[in-house]
Amino acid sequence: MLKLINYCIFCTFILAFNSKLGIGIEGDIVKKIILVLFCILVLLDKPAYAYLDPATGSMIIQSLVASIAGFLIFFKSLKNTIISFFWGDKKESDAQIDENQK
Amino acid sequence: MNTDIPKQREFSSFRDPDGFIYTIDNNIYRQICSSYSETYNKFLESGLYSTLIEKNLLIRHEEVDANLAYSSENAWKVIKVEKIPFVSYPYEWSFEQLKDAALLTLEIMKIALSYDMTLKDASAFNVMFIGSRPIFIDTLSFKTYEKNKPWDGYNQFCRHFLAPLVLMKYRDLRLLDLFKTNIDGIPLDLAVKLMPLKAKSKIGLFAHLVLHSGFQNKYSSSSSKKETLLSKESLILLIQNLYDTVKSLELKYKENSTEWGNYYNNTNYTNVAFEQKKQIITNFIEKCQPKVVFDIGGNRGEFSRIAQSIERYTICFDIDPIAVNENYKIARENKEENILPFVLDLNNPTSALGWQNKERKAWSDRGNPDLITALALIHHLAISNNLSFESIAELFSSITNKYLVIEFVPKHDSKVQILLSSRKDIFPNYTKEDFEISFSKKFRILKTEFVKDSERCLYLMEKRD
Repeated sequence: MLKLINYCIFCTFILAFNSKLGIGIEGDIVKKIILVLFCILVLLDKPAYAYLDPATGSMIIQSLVASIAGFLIFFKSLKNTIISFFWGDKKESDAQIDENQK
Repeated sequence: MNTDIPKQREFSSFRDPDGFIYTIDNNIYRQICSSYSETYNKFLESGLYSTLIEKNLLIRHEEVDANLAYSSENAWKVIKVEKIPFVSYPYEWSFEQLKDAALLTLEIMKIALSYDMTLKDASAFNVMFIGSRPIFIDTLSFKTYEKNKPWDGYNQFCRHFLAPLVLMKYRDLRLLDLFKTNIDGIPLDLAVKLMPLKAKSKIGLFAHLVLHSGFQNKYSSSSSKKETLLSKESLILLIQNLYDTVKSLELKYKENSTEWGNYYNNTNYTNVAFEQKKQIITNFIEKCQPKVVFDIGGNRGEFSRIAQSIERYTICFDIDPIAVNENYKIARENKEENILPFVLDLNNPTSALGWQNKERKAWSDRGNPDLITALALIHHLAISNNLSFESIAELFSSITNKYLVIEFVPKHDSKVQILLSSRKDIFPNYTKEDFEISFSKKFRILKTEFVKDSERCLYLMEKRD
């Protein structure tokens, strides 16, 4: 089980990283694959037991959606950090291009 | 408690065990039960109430004498709540109105969380409009945030706001009508069935609607006991993601994609006649000085906006959701708080809905105007819907308190000819004379003015006692 989870994390990371660098599969498809992998991750997690009402599904889904949201934000910032580390600040370079054009 | 004062309990206010709404003399009061005392004190003392008031997000209230309580039983406090000029329900809003109401709810939720409080629910009926300004009306919707607890209102938010917005954007604006038959919001499984693939493939919508619906189905039939924990940081992420998802829903349509969306560029008036028509109506309105106006068939509110005054509140009804949407956008941009755009089909107006058919009021039971304006409307009622002039006069006289401004469009007018082009003319009585005789039974005609370059005629009428 642990191996499978690790494998999922590894795959998501590689896919996301590649897509942000523009290598491999296109961004939208990657997003969907990441989502599916994340669903697997969360579904594999052991649930805590307490009380059930008809909105249980709505309660459980919230942590999943929050994870996805957090995940997207994490990769967005990771992408920006990596891009600015290797290729400098994007905004700065855009500004330079603008200035050169003038 | 004073038992001599006549009090009327608001029928729709039955869900919340912590309090309820009632009216005295047309003023709105809310009785707060002792079960809510601690939360109410925290709500005020934490500064959340004053922040929301400062930001114009929540309805104002003042604490009043406990003698005014509806019943002494369980009465901890009584508050007098600011009155909304005219009640409108989510199924009568345009796309942008519903979207702004959704964003308002999430904004309030975000602020509440920063004060360690949260919203108990996320009903679209908790939001009303004062003109173009959405406002949250449920003062008792707040509760103390419990550590690691997911949001109780999440499912309701998706049913009341996200599902209808997505169906309107990706399928058809008219799908908002599903809200009328599903008074507690569009069920997620139904929304998912109706969503096109394009919508499902958006990551936010897939998560909040498709996955959410799947989880709901899975666990609703499950007998296992489960509890989930959600940290506050994750909850904030969830709310922010919902906010961004709703914010990104932009309604796109071509200017003239519906019959009325581009109406004013396609009227039977020359510029001179149009200006003259405006002047006549200005004179009529100034003569009757109404406080509340119903502009029926008001389209984008061109005529609702003439002779405006702070004292006057106009509800601009139209059947076309795009025209109402455009009207709302104009009102929002101008920050108008005295024009309420409202989707209404006069041939089948909103009836009372909900529990005992009393929970949500019929459009005609929410207050009467001093003036009705019905411009370029009569031929749609008389010819498209085969209504007699008597019947139309009867409707208007049952609604207005006093005045009616109505335009008569003669049979040879090209707009009437279009309506008659594909059907037999069975309207020998559709004449100016018959119109005047029929309306005279219910109204006194005070003034008649012809519009230049057209044979249309404007009337100012006063209701007979």
